[in-house]
Amino acid sequence: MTSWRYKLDSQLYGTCSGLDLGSGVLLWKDAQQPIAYFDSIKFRSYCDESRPVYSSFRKTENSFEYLDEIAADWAIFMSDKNENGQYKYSIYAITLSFTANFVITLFLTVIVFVAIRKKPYKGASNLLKLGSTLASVNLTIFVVKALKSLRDNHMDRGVVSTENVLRLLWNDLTFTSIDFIVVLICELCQVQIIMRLFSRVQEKRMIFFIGMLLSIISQILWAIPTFSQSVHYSYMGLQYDGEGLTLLSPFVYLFRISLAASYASIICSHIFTKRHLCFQDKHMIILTLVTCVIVLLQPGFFVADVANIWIDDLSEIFNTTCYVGSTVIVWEWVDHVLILERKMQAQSVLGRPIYEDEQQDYYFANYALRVQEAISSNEDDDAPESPVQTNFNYKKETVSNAQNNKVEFNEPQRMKDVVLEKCSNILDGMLYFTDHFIVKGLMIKTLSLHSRSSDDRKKSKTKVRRRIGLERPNEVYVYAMKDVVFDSDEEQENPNMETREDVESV
Amino acid sequence: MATFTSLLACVLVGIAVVFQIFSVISAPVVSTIALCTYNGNRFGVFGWCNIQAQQCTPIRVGYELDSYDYMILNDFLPSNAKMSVSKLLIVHPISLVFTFILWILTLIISFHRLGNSRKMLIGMVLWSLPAVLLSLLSFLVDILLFVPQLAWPGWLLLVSTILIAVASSIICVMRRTVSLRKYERLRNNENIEMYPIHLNKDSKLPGGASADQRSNPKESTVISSSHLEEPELSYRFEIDSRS
Repeated sequence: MTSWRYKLDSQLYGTCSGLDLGSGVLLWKDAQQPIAYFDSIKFRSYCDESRPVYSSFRKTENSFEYLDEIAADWAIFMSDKNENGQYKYSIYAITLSFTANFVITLFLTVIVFVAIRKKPYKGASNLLKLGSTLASVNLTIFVVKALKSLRDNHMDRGVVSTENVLRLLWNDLTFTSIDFIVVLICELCQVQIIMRLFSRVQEKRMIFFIGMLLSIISQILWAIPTFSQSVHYSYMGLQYDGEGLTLLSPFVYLFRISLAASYASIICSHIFTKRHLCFQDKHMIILTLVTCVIVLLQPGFFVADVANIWIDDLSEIFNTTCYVGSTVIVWEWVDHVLILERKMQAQSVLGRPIYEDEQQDYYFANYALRVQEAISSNEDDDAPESPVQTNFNYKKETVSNAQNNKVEFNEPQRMKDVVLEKCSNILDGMLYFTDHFIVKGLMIKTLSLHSRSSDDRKKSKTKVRRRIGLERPNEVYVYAMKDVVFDSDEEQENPNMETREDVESV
Repeated sequence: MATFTSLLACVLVGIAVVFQIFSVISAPVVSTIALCTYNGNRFGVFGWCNIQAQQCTPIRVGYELDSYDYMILNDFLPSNAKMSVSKLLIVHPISLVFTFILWILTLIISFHRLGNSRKMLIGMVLWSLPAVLLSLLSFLVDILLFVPQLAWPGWLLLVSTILIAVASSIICVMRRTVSLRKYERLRNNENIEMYPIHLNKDSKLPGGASADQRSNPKESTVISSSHLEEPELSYRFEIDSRS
């Protein structure tokens, strides 16, 4: 549990330590001696975690009144100074919270499977589906376990304790492990969302590296105190440095809040910059408002948490829901915004903007060369080589000749060169990974307009095939060109003017 | 030379540095400045001062009480946090160092030709990220420890975070501008000429223009325009649609 937030519980209840009732007669169910007189009777009320337990069963006219001392303890327990006695800390509020979170997460998972398009971000959408499914499964397991724990408590002890549910939330290894994976997946999807918001390749790269790094660091830092505590709770024999980890927990907590606040500010700034798209119609206005609320929910919970410790108790469940919500809803919002943007670009004269980053890395030049290579490989061997191809071959030959002419010695490389080479290899590898699997693939895919349904896609495909003549590949057309002279008034002025016109096919 | 945007970034980060200095020099360094005043104590990053006794603790990381009186311990900080959490206040000087270095870098790009270096600007954007995060973290630590009694130096950290974030965005825009400018300059130096695609079939050179045309592109455009033919593809489409 987040012990760094709790002060020591100073309240001592008299009924839990024992009340001196003095002398008197006691009745009990012993058949031999149902009545006995005692000089000194000491009464200790039933307590749970050093707090008095009161009956929540149905009260009838025949029920006994509480003793004055017990009633006084109840008044203390319910007072404003006590942070555990108020209604919001009772089992009812906690049960309501975790079941509501469970339903919301389940609802979001259904949205992911129904509404989120698979293409063009196939990998990321699959990751999102995996994350939301895992979150739903995790909360289902938790709800079942919590209800079972409440039932057991009720049956065995006649108590419905909040402590057991909260302990389950913080110390259950299954919940903690799946939650770790869920949050990591959601954070990675959030990185993907931010990458989608930026158009330039270099910025995408930077966001990918930094986002990955921060997500992994945040999760590792979170895992250290959480798993230590869970393992210590599950296997009591293991050593546990509680004091040392006390400092790490609040740091990770604040670090996560910082990341969530940064994410929220990026999304909000994009909402502001693309406000003409976000507030275009009623549907988009609602989606944008929901997005705005959901990304601000986690920083908002921090403020509520600072003001009210109750949130902190359930922060893990709120966290899971917030992460899944701020990924799924925002993903949907980004999808809509990008579709609207692309539609607008398609309708405009200039089309999609091309940035110098793309030109600097010769993305289009490379693409053109590949097309050229593909075309030339299909051509006959007898056909004369294109100049571009010749140039290309010449370059290759030059390189190979240079390599052949080089005299090689078995000299050991300098340490500095080896380290530099290794570093540059690692960097190149990472860049290759980013460009090929993350950025470049997505870039090329996003060049085309999205279509909502498969029918639309089929229609557009047929249209394109018809346009480029793939529909009837066996039909051969022969064209002839001739100059046609029109008789007009201008002709008299300029009799030599000729105009070309196409002629019919054969 | 200094541009308006680089100067603006420099000024914003400079103000952020000043705001962060206020919190770092709070009690016990300067006893009158405090992040929070509560129960007769003025709290700062490196300790606290008692107002009545006019005594301050030695400068150290985290708060420590000499006497472990339960009542004092229970009512020492205005929030629910434990005393050990006060060690997190160390992020204040770390944040100041990061922001100060960022300020130095903004000064360099304002008054040095390094302001036109893309690598330098990318480095600055990357550096500004931990600066923003640490500044935000400092503010959150203050909130966690001292809310609802947080004083003005604590709130200045929020302003500082926003200022650094804005400066970071400005640097990012500068990087885009410099990148575009360099690209345009590079293209101008290469003097690449654009020729219509349909000239390819008549030309013998890879660029699609003859040697004469290459030597004098302006002339060549004029000459080649006289041999213009309409694209073949349009004929095909016309015929196809008719059939």
